[in-house]
Amino acid sequence: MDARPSPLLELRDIVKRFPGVVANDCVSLALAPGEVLGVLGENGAGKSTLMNVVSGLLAPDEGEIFIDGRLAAFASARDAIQSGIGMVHQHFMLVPTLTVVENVVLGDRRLGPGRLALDQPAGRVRALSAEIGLPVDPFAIVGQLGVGGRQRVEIIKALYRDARVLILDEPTAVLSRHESRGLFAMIRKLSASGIAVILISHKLDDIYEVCSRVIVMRQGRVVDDAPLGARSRDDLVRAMVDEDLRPPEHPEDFVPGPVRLAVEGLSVVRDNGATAFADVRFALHAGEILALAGVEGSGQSELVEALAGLRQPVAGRIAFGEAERESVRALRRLGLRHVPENRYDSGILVGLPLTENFLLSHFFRRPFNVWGWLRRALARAEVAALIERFDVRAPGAAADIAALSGGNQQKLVLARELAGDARVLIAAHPTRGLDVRTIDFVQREILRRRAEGVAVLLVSSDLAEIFQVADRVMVLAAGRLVGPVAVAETNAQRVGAWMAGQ
Amino acid sequence: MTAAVMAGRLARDVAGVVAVLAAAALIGAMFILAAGKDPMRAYGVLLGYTLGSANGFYESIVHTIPLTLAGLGIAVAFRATVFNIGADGQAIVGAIAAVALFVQPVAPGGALALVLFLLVGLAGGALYGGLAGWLRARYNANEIIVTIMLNYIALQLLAWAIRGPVQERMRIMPRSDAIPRAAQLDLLISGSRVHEGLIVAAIATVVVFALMRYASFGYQLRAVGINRFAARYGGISDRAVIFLALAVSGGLAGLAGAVEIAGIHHRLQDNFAPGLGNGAIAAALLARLNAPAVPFTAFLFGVLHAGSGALQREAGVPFPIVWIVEGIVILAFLVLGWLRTRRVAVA
Repeated sequence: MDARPSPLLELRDIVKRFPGVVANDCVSLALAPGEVLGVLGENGAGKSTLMNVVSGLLAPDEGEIFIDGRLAAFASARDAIQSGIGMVHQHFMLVPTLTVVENVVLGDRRLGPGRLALDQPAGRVRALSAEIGLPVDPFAIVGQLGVGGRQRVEIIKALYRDARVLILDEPTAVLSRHESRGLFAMIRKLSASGIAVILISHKLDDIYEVCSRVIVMRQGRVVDDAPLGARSRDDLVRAMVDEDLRPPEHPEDFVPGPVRLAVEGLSVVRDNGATAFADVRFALHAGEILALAGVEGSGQSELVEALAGLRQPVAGRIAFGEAERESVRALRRLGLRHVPENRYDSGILVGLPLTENFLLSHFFRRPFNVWGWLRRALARAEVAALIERFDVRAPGAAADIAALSGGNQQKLVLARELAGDARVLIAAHPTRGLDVRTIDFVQREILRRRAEGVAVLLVSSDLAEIFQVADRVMVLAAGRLVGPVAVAETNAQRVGAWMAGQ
Repeated sequence: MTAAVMAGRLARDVAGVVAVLAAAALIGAMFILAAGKDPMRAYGVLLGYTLGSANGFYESIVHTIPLTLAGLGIAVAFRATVFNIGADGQAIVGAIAAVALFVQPVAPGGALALVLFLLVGLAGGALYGGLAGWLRARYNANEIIVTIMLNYIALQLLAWAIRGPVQERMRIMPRSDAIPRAAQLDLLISGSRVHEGLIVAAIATVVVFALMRYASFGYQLRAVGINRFAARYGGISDRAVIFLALAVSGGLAGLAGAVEIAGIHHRLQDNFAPGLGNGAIAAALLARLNAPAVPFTAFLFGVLHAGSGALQREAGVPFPIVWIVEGIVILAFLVLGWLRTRRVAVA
């Protein structure tokens, strides 16, 4: 052990804070050449933040990064690339209208000004592609490649810049099983040639397939760091979902009311035309909280959009009481409420006052709309009352919603959605990114509505939360729905295994 | 919002407008210099005529009327971030539609003739704007390109109409016969060309303001303009809103065209509202898309348009200088908008 050289990459006490959350809390990590490190953790555990720090996209608030034992300070992603850090993001960063080799050399300052001489880079792309055993045509148009092909371009782009640490964020999420095998073979080759690989994944299979070591992150900390052989799957799942998971404490027993939302044979495709899930069937009852779990990208977003009237299913039926296939507005009139997954992108009107943001879900109904004319005075009074009741920290109803913290924005969105006659609440990741106190408030509010007979679909990838508040749980994985089953009859390990596709 | 905050905001907006205009005047001065003329004298002539003489002042108001109507339309569309560059074409189609109906052997007469004339103009413009709206909503066709192209089509349509189906019975000039007296707008101020279209513009301003500020329609426009996805999430059909934005915008431009015919020319002819579209965009941008401000900013460009003749006659400055100033105002707002988004991105 004494002869061991200084690690290729070392992180010491990295701290990264965002308003209201500590995304990375004193994270330390060392990586040797040729090592393949798996990084496990739930959504929001801090994996992506950590990798963005390593790849120079985010500057850490505290802590140091060493490369080959030398202190490195990354002012930008370019610095990190020059230090040999290559990152393949989950969402590819390629120009679809350019060829592979054009994408590879994009931003490479080693090419001088003037005419682009692409022959030599194209030769290197071919050589690299042969080296890692993944065929890539340097002159193919990137937009015409499939996701697997685009991922290879990203990897080759990193290797072209002499990456010695390759970070892969959820690489298998978009790949077929066959493509995944090719990827794993490539990782082994890279490892044999001394390149260190960091593999972020939710899937235990991936980790067991290629990793030599694994770390588990939870709430911004590394809670486990061990050679893979020293850990069983159960160990890892337990570390991931928190050992302190307390048994669910429900205010009362689950007495299912009438069916409010019935889904049968539902199939939905993603934006790119690929099937998100097929033949999904479940019923949501009044007075229950049904949790929908799954790793990101497993189709929960598409299911929520379909239920909320925002995405047209390709098959199956969604019955909302008596109504079927209604517009968003008609569904809202019937009492459907929706806390969106990404409030900033699709749930609020940035730059407008709280009153206008309240109206987003109420502008079409009485008493706020009378014959096409808005009654803003009423809306203002309602917002003032909601601010009070939900303890939204805001200067007043006239304040710009952008001036509120994320947690307070979320409280306002929840308050807005629960105003009026809510019959079904679809809450997509309602506590994500919030601080502990706000999480508690949001969960209590949802439980209170359950007690009042509202049917709640809670989308969450936080197993602790699911076991805290839900009555039943179902999991979307690999395009199929598992469950629903009563939470009392299952446990976090089993649900975690379903999420990982086991 | 307190009165003090509002007053502060108004002061800031007015200061911004003054700064943009000053910059435009300065750059305009450079072009006048380049043309070998004295900018101070040119601006002196311009302001002396338009603000210093009764006739020039009335002419400025005459130009303000269609600019206000079309400018209101631009403000409506831009609110939904739908960029209507087609006010010229929509005004032409509105005017053709109205005139075509009224030069028939049995033209509508009576008390409602004028109202009908204006409504047909509005409908014609709305259909033409709505065509661009439909193409954008249904096929995601870029409305900027579509409305510009539709302008050219409208120009050709006008050239054909006044040499073909609606040409005067004498068939000498490329123009239509005069519309019936009952369909014309009366003069408001005798001894000038200021006509009742001023009242139409005032009414339109109030109606558009009410729609934008108090109606569900205005709310939906704004929501779509800020975030299409959030709007959809809230139950707003962004496609319907985009279509309606262009239809309403085109309707107001069509009304501007009809008013220009009913109030000034009384017949269809080539080039009956020169520079309307660009002036309307500049006026709407300068008004920061606020309907009540549009008549005032439209008046600023009315002054420019009315003064351009005097500028050419008395100072020897070619009249396209007016277009340069308008162009600079539009560019200034594009740059300001760009700066604003950049600042947000950095923050």
